[in-house]
Amino acid sequence: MPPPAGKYDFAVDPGNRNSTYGLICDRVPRGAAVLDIGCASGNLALALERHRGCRVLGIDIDPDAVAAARSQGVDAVVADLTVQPVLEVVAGRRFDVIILADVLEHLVDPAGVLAPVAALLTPDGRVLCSFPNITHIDIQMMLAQDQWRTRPAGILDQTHLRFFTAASFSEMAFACGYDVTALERVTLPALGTEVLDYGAELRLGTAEVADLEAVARQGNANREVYQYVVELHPAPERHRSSPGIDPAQRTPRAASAPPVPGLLDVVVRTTEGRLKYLKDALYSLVGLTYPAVRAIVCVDNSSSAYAEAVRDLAAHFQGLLDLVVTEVPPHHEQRGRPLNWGLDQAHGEYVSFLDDDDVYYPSFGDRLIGRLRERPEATVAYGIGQVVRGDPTEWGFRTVSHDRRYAEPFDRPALFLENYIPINTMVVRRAAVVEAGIRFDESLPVYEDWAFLRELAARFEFEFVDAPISEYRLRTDGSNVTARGSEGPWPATLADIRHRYGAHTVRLSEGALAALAETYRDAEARHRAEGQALRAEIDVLEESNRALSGELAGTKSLIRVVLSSRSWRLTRPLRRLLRSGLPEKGPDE
Amino acid sequence: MCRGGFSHRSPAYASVRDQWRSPFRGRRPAGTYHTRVSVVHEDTWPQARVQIQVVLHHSERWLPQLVAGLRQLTPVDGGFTVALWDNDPDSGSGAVPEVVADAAFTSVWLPSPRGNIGFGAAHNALAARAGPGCEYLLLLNPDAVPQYDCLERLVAAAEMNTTAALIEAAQFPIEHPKAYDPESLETNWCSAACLLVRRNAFEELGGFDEALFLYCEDVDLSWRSWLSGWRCIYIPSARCLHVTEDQDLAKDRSAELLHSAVGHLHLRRKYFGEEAAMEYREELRQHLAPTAVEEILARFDGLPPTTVDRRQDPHIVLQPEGIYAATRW
Repeated sequence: MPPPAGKYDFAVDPGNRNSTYGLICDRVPRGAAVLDIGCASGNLALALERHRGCRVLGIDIDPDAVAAARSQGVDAVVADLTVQPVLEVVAGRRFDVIILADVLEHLVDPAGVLAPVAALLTPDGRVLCSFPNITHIDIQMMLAQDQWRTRPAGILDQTHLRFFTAASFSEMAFACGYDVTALERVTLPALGTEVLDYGAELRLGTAEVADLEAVARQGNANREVYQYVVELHPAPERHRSSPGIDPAQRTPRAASAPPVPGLLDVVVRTTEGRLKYLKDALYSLVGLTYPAVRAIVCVDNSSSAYAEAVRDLAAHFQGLLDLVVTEVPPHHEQRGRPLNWGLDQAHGEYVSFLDDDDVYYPSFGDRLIGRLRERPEATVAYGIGQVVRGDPTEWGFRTVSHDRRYAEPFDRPALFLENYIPINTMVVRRAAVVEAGIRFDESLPVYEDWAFLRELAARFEFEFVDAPISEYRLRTDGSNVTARGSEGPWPATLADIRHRYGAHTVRLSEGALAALAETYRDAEARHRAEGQALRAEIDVLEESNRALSGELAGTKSLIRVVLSSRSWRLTRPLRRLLRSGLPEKGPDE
Repeated sequence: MCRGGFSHRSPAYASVRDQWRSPFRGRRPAGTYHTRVSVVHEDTWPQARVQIQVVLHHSERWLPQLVAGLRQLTPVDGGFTVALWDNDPDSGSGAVPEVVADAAFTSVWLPSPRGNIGFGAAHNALAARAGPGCEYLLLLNPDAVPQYDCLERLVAAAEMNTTAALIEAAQFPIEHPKAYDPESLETNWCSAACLLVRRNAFEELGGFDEALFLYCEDVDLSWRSWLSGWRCIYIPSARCLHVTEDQDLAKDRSAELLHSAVGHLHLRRKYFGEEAAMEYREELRQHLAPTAVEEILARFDGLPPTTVDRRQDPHIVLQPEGIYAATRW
C-alpha cells in the first residue's frame, strides 16, 4: 500500500554534510544522467537539476507523489519495481547515477531491486543508497527499557521491513554484485532522534544512561550514526556475468552466503602518501603461489585524490590480482577501524592483514593455509616475519640490511605478557572469528593488533610454521617506527589493555591458566635467584670496601708520621725534593 | 625445517583453484586485445627496439601470470616484442601459442628444434634472430613478473649509463643479497632472471658461454663484460617479482644443485685455473653424496677446458664462501 502523500517530502540542503540529501548531492557528478528510485514528490530530483545540472528520471510507487513531482517539473513515472522489471520501466535508458534513498528498507526483497539496476549503469556508473542505522544508541536505550515502538517516520518507520547495519548492508551489496566504494554517515547524538521522542520518553536515570553509553562506547563505534549513505560500483565480471535483464530470473546470492571455499582475503591498510610502498605490497600478493587470493585495499584517513591514485595503481594489476579498493569512512586515528572495515568486506574462508609498507613472501598462503588444512583444530596459523631495514627513496623502499626475525613458537602465556606476533605473519579462519564476534578494538590508539591476538588466543588454537613468510620493513629514517615504551599513548594503552582484557575478555582454559601460573612461578624463581646473586655480589663489594678503608686508614697514619717526624732518615725524600726544586716539564715532554 | 603447506601437485591445490572462479584474474575485456603475430616463421620475426626473451621449460603453470604482467608494462620508446623459446615443446606446452596469442603485444613462439639446448644457448638463439632495429634484449625468467614500470626504468638506466652492458632489475620480494655500490650502482655480476642487455655488447661478447647448460652463465657473461671494458649495474628501483629460494614448495631443487655445481667448477677453471677447480672438487666430495659428486664430475669433465686471463680485475673474485660477490646481509 502506498504511503500517505507528502510523508517523504524532505527538504534538500545541498551544502549540509550532515544530511542524507546533502551527502548524496555531493556524490553526483555535474550533468549526470540520474535515476531516482523512490523519488517521492521530486525534491531531491529538483535539487540535482538545479544545483548540479543533472537530467533526472524519478520512479515512485505512489501515483500522488509522482503527480506532485510532475507538477514541480520533474520527469517521473509510476512503477512498482518489485513486480515490474526496471529495464522495461526506463525503456532502455542508461544512467550515470542511480539513487535509492531510503528505499531498500521498505522492501520485502531489497536485493531483488538492488541487483538488477546494475544493468542500467553507464561504464563508470554508481549506485547511491541511504538507509537508517539500526544500532543507533537510541534504539539500544529503547530496548533497554523493554520497549519496541514503531514511528510514523525515522529509523523505526512503521513501513520498514528490513533493518541494516553498515556491515549487513555491505554484505547484501556484495551478494548483489557490487563493491562498496564509499560510506558516509549522518549523525545524531543520544536522545537526538524520534525513537524516544527526542528524550521525552526516556525512563532511565542519568546513571543508567551513562552506563549504557559506556557499554556502547566499548562495542559500537557507530552508536551516533542515524543514517548511512553508501556508494556502490558494480564489481567487474560479477556484474558482467549477470544477465541483468529480468529480475524474475535473477537469484541473488543470499546475504548469509557461506564463505567462498579456499579464498584468502587480504586486508591491506593504506594511508595518504604511501602509494610507492603500496605498489610493492600489492605485487607481493601477485607473487603468492596460493591459487585463490583477493586484496581488499582499505584507503584510510586519506584525501579523495589519494583514493583516486590508489584506483589508478589498481588498474596496473588487472589480470594479475583480484583487487577491491574501498575508502574507510573518516575517523580519529583509530588504527583498528580500517582493519574492521576490511574484515567486514571479506568473504573468503581465510583472512589475513597486510600494511601497505610490508610485503608477503610467495609461500605465505601455501605454507599457512596448508598448515590450517593439516590441523583442522587450529584457527590461526603464523610464520616467521623477517625484519628488513632500508632507505625511503622517491621510488620506494631500498633494502639495506636484514635484521632480526620474529620466529617464536606459540606460547600463550607469553602472548598475554607481550606481543611477539606481527600482524602480517598470520592467517585466520574468517568464519570462526566472525562467529566469536572478535574484532579490532577501535577505542585503542595503539596495540590494536595485540588486543586482537589476545582475544584470538583466549579462544582458539594457534599453529606456528617455522619458515619465513613475510617481511616487516623498517625505514632507516624512522618514519614508520613507533617508539614503544615510555612515551606517547603506549603506557596508558598498555595499562588499559591489561585492565580490560585481563578482567573479562580473556577466558583461559585450565591448562592455559596452569601454564601461565607456571611462567609466573618461573619468573619469580628466576628473580629470586637473581636477587640472591646480587646480594652475594654486594657482600663481596662491601667486604672489599671495608678492606680498602682499613688500608686507607693505615696510609693516612703513615703520612701523619712522616709529616710530624724529625727523623733524618724518614724525612730524606722531602729534603731531596727541596734541594732539586720542584720537577719542571722537560722540553720533549 | 618444516616445509608444511600444500604443493601445486596436490589435489587440494586444484580443488581450491577450481572452486575460486576468479572474477578478475586472467580477465580479458572483450575487444581490447587482438592478436598481431604468433608465428614460428623467421621471415616474419617481429621488430622493435626491445626484444623481451623468455626461455620456457615446463613453464605452463607460470605463463598466464607472465603474460598478464607483460601486458601491464608501460610503453618504452621504439616498443617491445616478446620472443619465447620453448626448450621442451613435448611437455604439453602446446597451449603456449594460445595463451600468448591473447596478449596485447607482438610475440613469437619458437619450439626448440633440437630438444633442450640449455638456458644460455636458447637466449643466444633468440638474440641472433632479433631484427636490425633491436637495441636491447630483456632476458626474463618464465617464473618472473616485472613490475609495470620495470622495463621503463631499466631502459632509462641503460640510456644514462652508456658504458653498461648489463642492467639488472632487483628481484622481489626476496631481494638477491649480493652487494652493489649504492652510488655508481656497479656490481660484480648480474643475474639473468630479469636483465636488460645492450644488444651490441651481447654480440661483441659472443653471447652466453654455451658450455654452461643452466646457472652461472650470467656470472660468466658479467665477468667477460668487465674484462672487455663494459660495466654491470644493478637498478634497485626496477623490480621483478621472482619466486626464489625455498618459496616455491612445488619446485624440485635437485637440478639446481647439479647444474650450479657444474657451472661453479667451470667458472673456477676458466677464471682461476685448474687448481681452484680441484679445490672445489674436494669440497663437493666432503659435502655431497658420492653418486651426486660422480654425476657432477662426469658432466664437468665433458666441458671444454676454456681459460680466460682475468688480469686481476677487481670484479672477478671468489668470496670465501665460494660465491661470486660479497653479500649485503
